[in-house]
Amino acid sequence: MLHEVLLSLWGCSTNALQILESDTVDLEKYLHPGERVLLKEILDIVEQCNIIRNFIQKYTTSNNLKSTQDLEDVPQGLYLQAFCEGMDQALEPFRKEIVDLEDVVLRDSYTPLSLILCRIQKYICLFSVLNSIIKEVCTQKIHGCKLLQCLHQNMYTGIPDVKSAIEKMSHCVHIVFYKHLTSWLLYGHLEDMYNEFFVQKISERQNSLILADNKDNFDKANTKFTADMWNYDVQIDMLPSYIRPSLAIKILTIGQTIIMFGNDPRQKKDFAIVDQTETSIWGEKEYEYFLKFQNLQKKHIFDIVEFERTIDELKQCITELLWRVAVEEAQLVQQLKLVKDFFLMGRGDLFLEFIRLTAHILNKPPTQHTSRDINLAFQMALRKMHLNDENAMDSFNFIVPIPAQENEDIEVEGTEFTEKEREDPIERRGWGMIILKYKVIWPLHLLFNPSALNDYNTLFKFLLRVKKTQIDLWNLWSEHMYYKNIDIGVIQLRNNLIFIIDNLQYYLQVDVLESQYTIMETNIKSTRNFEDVQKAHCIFLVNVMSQTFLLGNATERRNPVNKLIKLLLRLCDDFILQASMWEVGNLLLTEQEELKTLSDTLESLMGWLTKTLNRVRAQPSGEHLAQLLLRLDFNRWFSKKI
Amino acid sequence: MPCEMITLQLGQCGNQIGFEFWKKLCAEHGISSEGILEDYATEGTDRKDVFFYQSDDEHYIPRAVLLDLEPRVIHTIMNSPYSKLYNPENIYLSKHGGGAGNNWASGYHQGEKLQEEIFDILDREADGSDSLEVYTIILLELVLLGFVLCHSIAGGTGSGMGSFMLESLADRFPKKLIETYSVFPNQDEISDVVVQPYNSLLTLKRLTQCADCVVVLDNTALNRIASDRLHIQNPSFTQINKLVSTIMSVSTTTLRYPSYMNNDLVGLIAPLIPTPRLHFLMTGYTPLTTDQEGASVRKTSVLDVMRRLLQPKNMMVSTALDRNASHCYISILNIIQGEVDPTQVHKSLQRIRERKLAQFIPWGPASIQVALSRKSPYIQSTHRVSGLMLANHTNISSLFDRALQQYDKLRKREAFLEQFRKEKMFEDNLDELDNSREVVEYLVKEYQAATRVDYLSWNPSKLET
Repeated sequence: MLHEVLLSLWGCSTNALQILESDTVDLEKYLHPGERVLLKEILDIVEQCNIIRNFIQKYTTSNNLKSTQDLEDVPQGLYLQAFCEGMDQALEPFRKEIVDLEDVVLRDSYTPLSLILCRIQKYICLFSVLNSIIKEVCTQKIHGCKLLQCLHQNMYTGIPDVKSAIEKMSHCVHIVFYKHLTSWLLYGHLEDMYNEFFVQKISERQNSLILADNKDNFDKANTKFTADMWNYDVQIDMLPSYIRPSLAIKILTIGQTIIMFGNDPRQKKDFAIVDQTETSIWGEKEYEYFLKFQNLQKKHIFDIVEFERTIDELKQCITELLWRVAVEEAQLVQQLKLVKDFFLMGRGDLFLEFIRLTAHILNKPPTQHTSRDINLAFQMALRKMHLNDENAMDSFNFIVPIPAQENEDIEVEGTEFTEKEREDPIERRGWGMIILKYKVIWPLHLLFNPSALNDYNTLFKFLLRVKKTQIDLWNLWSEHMYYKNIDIGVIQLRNNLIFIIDNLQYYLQVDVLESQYTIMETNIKSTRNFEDVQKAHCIFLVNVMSQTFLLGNATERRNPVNKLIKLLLRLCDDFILQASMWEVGNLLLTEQEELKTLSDTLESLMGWLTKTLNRVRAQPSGEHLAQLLLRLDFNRWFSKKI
Repeated sequence: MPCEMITLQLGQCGNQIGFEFWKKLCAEHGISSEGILEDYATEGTDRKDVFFYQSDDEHYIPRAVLLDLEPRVIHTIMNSPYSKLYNPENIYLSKHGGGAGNNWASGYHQGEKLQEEIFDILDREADGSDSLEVYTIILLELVLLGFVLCHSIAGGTGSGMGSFMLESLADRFPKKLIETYSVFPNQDEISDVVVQPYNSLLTLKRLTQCADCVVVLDNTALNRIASDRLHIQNPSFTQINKLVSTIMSVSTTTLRYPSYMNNDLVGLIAPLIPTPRLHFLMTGYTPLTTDQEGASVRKTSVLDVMRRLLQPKNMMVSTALDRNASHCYISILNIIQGEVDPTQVHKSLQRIRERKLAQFIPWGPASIQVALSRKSPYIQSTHRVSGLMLANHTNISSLFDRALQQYDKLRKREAFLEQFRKEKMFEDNLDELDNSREVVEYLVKEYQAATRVDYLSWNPSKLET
């Protein structure tokens, strides 16, 4: 009978329970009712333990059962196996206890049940904690790195036995974690068939959205490489809470960088030699770092301080390497200058000529030939400016995508002002569609990633629009200079518009772009750490986007200043169109009315703009608004009118 | 619009300042006196093509036409090291070489007689403006933007022939921009040209009616600057012309050293000239120092430069204070060259507004535009930063007012009119003189009106009646 109990404690299936439950008279003979209670208690513990054992069994030998896995099961994985193994190890003291007990029972066949119960009772606590963890895992389908978080949460119980057991489990899981980490950090490989690591590949579909406009123009191989590294991202929900997200980002970038180095197009593109290039990144340090991770892995308790230090060390090493490659070999500063010259209209003369050559094309909705014509014109403008820099010419080209035909016209009848009607018609023409492409030199796509290029294009389109409007206004001025005798109202409206657009452009180019660029340039020149370079560029782009009021315009809530500027630009277009049809020396009555309407619109727009700027500029983040206001309202002409 | 300009140099003064201007441009672009690019200048990103064109044999040739009725100055140029720079076909000397005798009317009529030959040169130059570059022919129409005229308004050739040229250019190239650099006579000293007031007035009429933009170079102020600021006892023409050429070259610097803006002459002057007739620009320059004392002004911030540019002593126009009207700026463009921190521009603007250093028109928006420009890398200067101001200021009318007064003095006595009566235009009557006086008077009145709030409702036609 005692053996029966011990066997069931060991985990074998016995009929101890049936015996207990069979309510025969025989039982009364052998068992005292008190003993029955004791036995019942022991069997309860057995049951708890069995749950654990079943769980372990189910998931350690899981590979064969894969096919039978149903939806309710926890997803497979190495972490789970390690977790089970750890749990198994945690049961080790319990097993020893039973072996001991058997010894006792063998020596003394009259060992009371209470002794057994007493000896195993101390495990109740452990079992219940383990069981609750198992329950958590099963119900929440905890998976991969999340297991680490789950263990972490349960570790601090205050009961030493439980704590050491969980530490043991956590160590087991960390071994897997370190294996993933080492391969990611040192080789940029992620062999993660169960998607358990916190750095993960983004699914193709999602990815293609982001890279969509990047893909078209670059050659296939190039896309593949760039895609490779942007394919990875941190899954925040997988991240154990003791690893800060910033640290996780560091880990991500290190791996990404290694992938990128592996794809160095300057070396042979053959994947067969990838291994060689990889070792060249770390060089002799590879072994050193490997050992470091080995040591970390051996520690029983996860040492976050040491862990972070090691990651930082790696990061330092890689950023310096990157700095050398990017700044010295890829000539980052020159590339930035090119980007400024083209995307940010640093070469005003070039775009003056470009706009002159392409205005008639961009004024129409794009067609099949538009892209080709625009590029041809761009080449001509470049040559005209004697910009024979092959580098620059190859790096930039335009595409003008043809907008998808929309057939929503039928639906819009009901509402009075649909989005489509409110939309500036120019957005549908070439001016609104044009995209400037920049062939990023390896490894600068760390700076000019797809979303940065997207921002640059938004800026480019906006600046092009402003410049185009400005040129049109100047042409109107030349036209008017020729007539000499012109209605003063037309002159005044034209002057005000020229003034506003000119000062807007000064603000954009000098106060924002040039100033921010200088700040970035000094920052970049004063560092030898690529991360600082990245940071400087990032800050530059964000500042520029926000100070040009273009930030977050894709979302519903558009920047009010941006809206007003858009309206102003549209007003300029209207005025230019109408004024070109007027006989400006002698306006007809209807024309005078048109002029009046335009002037009134301008007045109210400027009223709104000055009011808006005035209201927000006092805030600490509104310094740039004050700058724009100062430019526009230098002699307080517009603010006086309110 | 790669702004291609044809420079016309007229008369003694025009050719002298033109000569200095081209010398300066050559130095700035690293072009030798024979038009060949220096070895150190081959990598530049400057736009030489704005003022030069390249002939087949790698020579850079100024897009300039030199005209004079007497040979002295042009002969000096042709005997200088720069003789091979110019296209000899573009140099036109009147055959009899007698000059215009400081007589406006004579200059005007000689221009009339020679117009066929002169316009042959101009048409060729204008057509050639772009045809050297074969690939552009297909798509581009002529990209000639306009003319730059250098002349003096006092003498005979520059003023008389200049006036004729202004009229015919406006007539033949109606849509092209005409910018002039016009030298106004020194009113501090007695001129050897007695009919100077007549000449000036007659030229002023054409400058008002035919030119799009006149950069006024006032000899009175230039001499004052040379003696007071540069400590030259008796400033020579060459020294004065150096000042002038500096102004000319800096005012075109944003066209020649392209940057993000102001790459176009129209864009440069359109914001400066809001109404068609008020197109006379003052200039100011800093630092005005001799090379020896350059060190003392080395510490220069954007604010320093902008503040100094607003000081009257740095202005190249001598303007007497007119107490009747509170004169004000219509517009200002500052071109600042050198190593400048762009973040400083805003702060300087703010400071200037706070201290009310510049008074602006009350009838429209106005501001100080600041263009930051590069410097030529080939010219060493002790000054880290330098600045040029182009300003449209109503006070320039006092200069015209003075011209009117001097004219009136002479006219009252009917002095020296017989030389004019010899020429066709004045054979029958002196209406042209009276008419010119009227035009200039309107101009003064309009400038005065521009100081008032009701300028927009100011009607010139009321005055005509």
